[in-house]
Amino acid sequence: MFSFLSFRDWIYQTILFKFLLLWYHFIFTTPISTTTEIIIPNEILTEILLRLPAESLMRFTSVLKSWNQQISSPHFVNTHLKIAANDKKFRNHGIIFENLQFCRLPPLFNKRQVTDEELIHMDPPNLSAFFVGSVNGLICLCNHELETYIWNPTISKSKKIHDSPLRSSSNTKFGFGYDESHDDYKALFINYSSLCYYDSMCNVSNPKIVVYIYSLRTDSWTTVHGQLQGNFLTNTLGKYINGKINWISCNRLGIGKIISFNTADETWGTLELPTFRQDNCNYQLGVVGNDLSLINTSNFMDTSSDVWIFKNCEFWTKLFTIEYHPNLSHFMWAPHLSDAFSIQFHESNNGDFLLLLPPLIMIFDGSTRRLKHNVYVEGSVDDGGCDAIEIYVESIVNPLTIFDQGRRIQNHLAENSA
Amino acid sequence: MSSSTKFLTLKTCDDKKFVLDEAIAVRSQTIKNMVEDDCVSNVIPLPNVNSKTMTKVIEYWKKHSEEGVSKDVLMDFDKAFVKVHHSILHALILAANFLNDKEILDMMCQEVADRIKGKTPEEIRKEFDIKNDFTPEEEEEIRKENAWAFE
Repeated sequence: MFSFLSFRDWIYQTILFKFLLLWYHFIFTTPISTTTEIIIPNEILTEILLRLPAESLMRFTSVLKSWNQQISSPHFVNTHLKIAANDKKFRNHGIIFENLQFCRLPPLFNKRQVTDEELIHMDPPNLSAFFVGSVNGLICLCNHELETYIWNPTISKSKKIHDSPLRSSSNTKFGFGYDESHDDYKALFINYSSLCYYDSMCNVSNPKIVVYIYSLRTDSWTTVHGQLQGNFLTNTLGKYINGKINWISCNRLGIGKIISFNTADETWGTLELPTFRQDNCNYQLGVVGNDLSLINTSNFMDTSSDVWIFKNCEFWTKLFTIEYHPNLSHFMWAPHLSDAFSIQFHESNNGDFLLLLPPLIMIFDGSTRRLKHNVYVEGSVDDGGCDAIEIYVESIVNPLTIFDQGRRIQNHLAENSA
Repeated sequence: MSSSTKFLTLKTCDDKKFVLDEAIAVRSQTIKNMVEDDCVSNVIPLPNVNSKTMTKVIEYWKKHSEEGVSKDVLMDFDKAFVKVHHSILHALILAANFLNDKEILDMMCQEVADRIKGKTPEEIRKEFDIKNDFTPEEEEEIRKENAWAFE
């Protein structure tokens, strides 16, 4: 009897053991087939969120409280921006047109024409406002009444700037840039008194120059007199690159140099131009990738121009020479002085690159550096096509948040001192 | 192959062994640190990676270490590489994270982002097994703020 019982127990135990073993195998070694069963660590989830387009991120703020907090945090916003700006596939890049429409960058490399339907209308906060500058997905707008806005069209948020000391002037130069050390955005308005004139040789009389600087974070204006004397900025819109807003400037003798405004300490600096092949040549300010650059054309009716970059903010070097059809010569010789050019390299297609030389969009062959084709954009003033003005990178930078953070810090400081 | 080529043996969690040129294996920062700190014995255990995932990782490492391979070929390779089932994609992310290979990790995170970017918040919660912690009023409020993103 006893032996039978123990035998029975033994059988039971064996069966139970085998059963447990089967379960163990089923639970721990069966390949996982649905996504919900894999737990993604938080730091990787953040990496995934950082790679989403702005529109999806805004929608995903309502997924979870912690997602909303994370997506709104300044660190997340700025990291997202850096990833978007350096994306080699240009997922977040586009071109802005003068009529404040937007067109994605990647398709342009294989296109000769963009139709009206392919353009995205950006819905500006003020219909009469025009483009003054763009950085980090923010656009600075100003209208003829000098009402100024800082606007992120991607997330539909804008801040109207109040208490403007701006006076209307027949000759105003604009700049818009980022101050990384204070996570602040600054708009510059350089007014030349109406007495100022300059002739074709860039001879400048002695104009009165007033510089107005607006800081978004402190929501305040600074007015500076007596700077930039003897210099005449030739381009209307300054080009922001690496902490500085740059303009080409001419002195009384017509000698050019680059004048730059440091957005962090609000000081001015100068940079000599490279030594060009010919003295009496034309040049245009711009950006290649993330470097300050110049396009230099030696003679009227030339069919080639040199592209220079200010490598690592240290020295000028000639990058390459581009070639184009004679019917573009007059554009290259005398481009729109108001706007800077921009070159963006495609990841594949043998390194084909896009040259935005407002108002033109041109695609160049990566190996021969010859013009492949122009991109014509429909739906425009006088059927001349839309005027392209700037490369734009979508971001989730919220101008209202920057302003609000600044206000809270100021309130806090005021309370402490009281 | 030069005589100075050193080989490492990697052992995955399911006890499979992979013999690999050290120059290729050090694409993993984790393995590189181990080699530099001289704490590599004969076999490097990879307790967080299974053999199926490791095979994919090594396939990537070898292709990207090939000499004279053109940028366009690599781009086509990468394009095909990320076209895998969810479960493999997630396993590759965890492996790349453990091996500390930023290149693969970035590429895979971008792929997940590209796959989920068009989804609604409800679909996202399902995808990541997340329980909504907003009250209906709070959710309505936050949606209103970004109403354009739901159009």
